[in-house]
Amino acid sequence: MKALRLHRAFEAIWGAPKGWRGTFSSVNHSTLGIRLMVTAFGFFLIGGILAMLIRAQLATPHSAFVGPEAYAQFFTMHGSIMMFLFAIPMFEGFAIYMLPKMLGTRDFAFPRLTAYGWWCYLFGGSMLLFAMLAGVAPDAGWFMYTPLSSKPYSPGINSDFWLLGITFVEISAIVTAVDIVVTILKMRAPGMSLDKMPLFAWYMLVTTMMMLVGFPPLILGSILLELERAFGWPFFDAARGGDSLLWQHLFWLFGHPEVYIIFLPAAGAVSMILPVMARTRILGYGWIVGAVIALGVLSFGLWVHHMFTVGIPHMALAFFSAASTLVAIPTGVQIFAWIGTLWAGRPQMKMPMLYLIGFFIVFVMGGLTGVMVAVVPFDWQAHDSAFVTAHLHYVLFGGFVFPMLAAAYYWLAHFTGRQYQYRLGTAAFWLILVGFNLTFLQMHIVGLLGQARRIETYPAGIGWTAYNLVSSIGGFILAFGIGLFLIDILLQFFHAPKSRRNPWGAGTLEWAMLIPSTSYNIASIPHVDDREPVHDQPDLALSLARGEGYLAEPRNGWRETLAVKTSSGKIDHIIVLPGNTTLPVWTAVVTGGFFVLMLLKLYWLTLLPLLGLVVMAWRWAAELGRKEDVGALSVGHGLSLVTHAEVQDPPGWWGSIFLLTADGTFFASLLFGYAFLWTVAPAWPPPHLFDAGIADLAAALAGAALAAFGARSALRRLRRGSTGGGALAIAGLTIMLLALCAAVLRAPPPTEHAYNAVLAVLIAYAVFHVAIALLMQVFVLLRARAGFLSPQRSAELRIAQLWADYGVGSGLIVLFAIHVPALIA
Amino acid sequence: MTALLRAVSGLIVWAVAFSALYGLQGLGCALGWDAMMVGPIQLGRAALIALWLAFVAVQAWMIWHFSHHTHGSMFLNRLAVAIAVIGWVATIYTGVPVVTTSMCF
Repeated sequence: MKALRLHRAFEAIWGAPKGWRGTFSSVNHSTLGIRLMVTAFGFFLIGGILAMLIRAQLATPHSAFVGPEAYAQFFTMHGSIMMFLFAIPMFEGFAIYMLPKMLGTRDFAFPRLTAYGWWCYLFGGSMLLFAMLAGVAPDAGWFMYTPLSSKPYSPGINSDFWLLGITFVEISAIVTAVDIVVTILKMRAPGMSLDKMPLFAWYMLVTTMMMLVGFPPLILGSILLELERAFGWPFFDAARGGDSLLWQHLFWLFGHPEVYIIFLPAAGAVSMILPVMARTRILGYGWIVGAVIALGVLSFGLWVHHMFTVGIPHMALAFFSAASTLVAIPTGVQIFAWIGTLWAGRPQMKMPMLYLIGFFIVFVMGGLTGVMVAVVPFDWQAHDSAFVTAHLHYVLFGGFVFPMLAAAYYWLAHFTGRQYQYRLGTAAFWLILVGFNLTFLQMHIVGLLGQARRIETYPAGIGWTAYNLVSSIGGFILAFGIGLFLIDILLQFFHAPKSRRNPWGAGTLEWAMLIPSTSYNIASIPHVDDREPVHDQPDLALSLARGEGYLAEPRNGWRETLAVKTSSGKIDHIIVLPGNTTLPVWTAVVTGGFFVLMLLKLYWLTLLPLLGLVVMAWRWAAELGRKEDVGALSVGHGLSLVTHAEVQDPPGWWGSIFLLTADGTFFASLLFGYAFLWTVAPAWPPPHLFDAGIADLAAALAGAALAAFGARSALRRLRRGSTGGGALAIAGLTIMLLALCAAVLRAPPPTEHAYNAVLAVLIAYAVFHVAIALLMQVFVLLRARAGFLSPQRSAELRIAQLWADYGVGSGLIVLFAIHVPALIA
Repeated sequence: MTALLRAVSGLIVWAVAFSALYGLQGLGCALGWDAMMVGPIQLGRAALIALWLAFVAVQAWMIWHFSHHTHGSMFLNRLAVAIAVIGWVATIYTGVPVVTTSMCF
């Protein structure tokens, strides 16, 4: 009876209102995770239909099915949808739904950000879908190479849809990555040290760190290209000092890690499912963790292998060829660990296992062709041919879709609460496996016979016809398989009998709860001593439901969960999460307003949504906080802890650290672009250098020193009990802002030369960050005066200090980067 | 957190080494260091070899240091040593082109 009472009490706190109000205001991770997965699957079906149209066109020579214009939109949208609107959101949705359950916590670190990410994804994806329905979809290929995607060669709005829509979706990816990484590091069940985390959490930790470092170069590239298209700033125009290769560098700095960003979460799912299917524990946990970290870092040294044919010196080619072959080793370590686990256990051929076998076959073949194209002379032959299309599909379909299908069957009971029935899934598997290989296996051969990727037709009598016809037939068989899978899953939802709580006999925490899961996941939080706690305590689910863990008593209607020390997993403090709110959807609407106005070329009006975002962000922060110290509260088992408002490093501080990591990568990519153009691009050095002003530089230095000192002094004074805030920091940042504005006035016109354009972006970056830092200092000053800060409640000041330091640091680097060449000259 | 950062630092140093070698190669070519000689070898190649060996030495020291100085849990200590070894091997392997391939062609 106690379990039922707790269930009702927690449901009242963590649940969402019924109807539309709940739809717009829910910030619950399970709801949002499912929404993301369902939407991503919808995009997968749309991308799949586009693939069928592509195969219909290529089935026969001289096909009159569609013209080249429509075909270019098909393949561009197929690639873009599958990469940006299916694969990334699908694993994000899965992680959002599953990670807190695996980690033994009740929600994500930033529930409002989770909701904001979902709305941004929905709106950004809808923009691209609208473009497709309106017949103005992007058509320059999913990697949007300049100059093809530049204004002279793509004058329509098509490319703008891609640049703005994808950037909108990337905002979602970045905030979700911050959300996930802080959750993994800080919100595990007590006792769950890093070496006791489920492997999926390790995979997601590495993946999200990769996202924070990998996505900013693409966001930067998209912004630069949109600036070039909208205002004529020539970053990629060789005639005015730009270089189209800069786009390729920025794109593939994102694009290659992206392959691993997609593969790793799927591999994480494999590492969770496979030992359960083999009825044993995973072999080589530590080896796998090392391999995943190695894969994550090494994958950033591969991007130039997409550019082997652009005319780069042999030494540079060899650097990237070496790194590309090296990355096969950590991948191999994982595969051997999985094979070893199967060897050590007693595998059972259930549905998830079937798809895992499909994954092994297809992914290993894709990996081997990957090593082939990593070798420069082979790549020169195969580059831009159908061989590469085949390779990437073996890697991505094999490395992502097969494991995700296995995951769908493995965790199905978690979503439906029903046990798997019927045998349609087996037929679907065989159709998918056979269909996939029929589509792509001989594409390797026809590629080596000379068929280029992305061609819309080909002549008869050159030996390609049979290969293409078989490919097209295979593509349709694959589509039937996916259709059958969908029917099978829907049948489980509506017709299968109820499942028992842990149908596979798994050992991880996501199975220690009611299925389908409740809004709060667990009525009490366990103490974990093992990687597979459910194996150690088979009745753990009941014990937690009865409230025998931590935080078992609902309090003040608060959404409480626990924070732990990053590495050791020792219990640290209570986190009180924000409840349901419509703020995320409204913030996403305002963000969307900016992108829509950019699309409509109403550039001056974009200032309105930017101002709106400032208001929203202010409100976002102002909604939280308290005016009194609460002190230590009981969490059960004789322990009392303070809430996150009264610790030095609450989740908001950690979130800022990781958001600034992504921001720093963006800035570093911009500086790389500046250095790249200066050393490699034609028409450099520029005709006119920046008119350096020593007085501005001196003023900025003084302002920076004042801001850094002021922010620290405010924190010191707060710790001594004075709540005066950082007036000095505000003065310092204002001086810096004025110095940067003086630089804006002296900067040469950005349309003249790429140097001028880069200078304009650098100064804009610095102005933006110093302005954010200034706004935050004003915010904490007002909060201090309103009584929201105390010696215990100092975190807001610490967060503002982080941003002030970043604003000051990046502002100084920008000022030096623009002044030093001019002063030397 | 510092224990985790320490555990992955071997590969972060590899990333720095890899970027530095690639950047120096581009810079050396842009400045014409392939045409200047230091004794029997090009100036650019000499600089690249020196940088490569410096990173190899630093990473060898990291392996030694992590093996002899522990910080945090045993798992993270072992991970730090393993990642340092991986980073060291990666720097040696991906840096070999500085002695085997043409610098600017």
